[in-house]
Amino acid sequence: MIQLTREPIDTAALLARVNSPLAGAVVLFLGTVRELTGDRRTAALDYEGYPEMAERKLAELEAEARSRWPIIECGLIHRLGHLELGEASVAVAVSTPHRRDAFEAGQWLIDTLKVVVPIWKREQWADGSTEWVHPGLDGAAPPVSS
Amino acid sequence: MIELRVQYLAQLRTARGVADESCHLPEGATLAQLLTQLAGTHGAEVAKHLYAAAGVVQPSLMIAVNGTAISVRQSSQTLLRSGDVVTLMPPIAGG
Repeated sequence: MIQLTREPIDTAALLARVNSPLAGAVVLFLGTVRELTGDRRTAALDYEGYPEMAERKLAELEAEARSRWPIIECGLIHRLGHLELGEASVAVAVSTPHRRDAFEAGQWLIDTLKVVVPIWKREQWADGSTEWVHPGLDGAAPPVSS
Repeated sequence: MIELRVQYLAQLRTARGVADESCHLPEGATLAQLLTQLAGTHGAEVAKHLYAAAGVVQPSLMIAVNGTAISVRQSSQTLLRSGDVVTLMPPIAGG
């Protein structure tokens, strides 16, 4: 299941969607708006996407993850528009029979989503300035290669 | 002459100042020639997103023609036609 939305992500509905009696493990990842990046303070983030391509890429990601891991259900949701601190911009949920696959698939999905899905975020800094985020400068560790 | 639409997303839109515009090129023009024209006519702010150095297209530039991704490497072999929509995108930063 893939979705682009401008509404707050309904994590309870997402978890209900991926749960299954066949699953021994459900992993949910939420990417949330963080206040601090180095010594700069974020006031809010604005997300913009290229919807037709983003949806296609999300669907391709799900298909590839399903070919690599024994995924029972999978949900990828990315929110677009204006987000305040602490709100979730992206949700990745997977259910698998055993937990190692759920953790691995979940990590691969979010790491790869951030590289291939055409979505961009723009910082609204607390000092009033705005800046489009350049990849690799958000303080995150590089993705684990698989 | 062919007429097509160019869409700019994210910081490319900020740099260009418009979300999209029509563009005219000679018949048989390639995507690479479109990039050259845009970089030459819209100033340094736009040009730096398209070219890393003279003659070297930004390897991280993302391009779609009619919704289909085209790699920078393919740009000199990609022929454009009237009515095409070319979408220019900076490196992805979502999640």
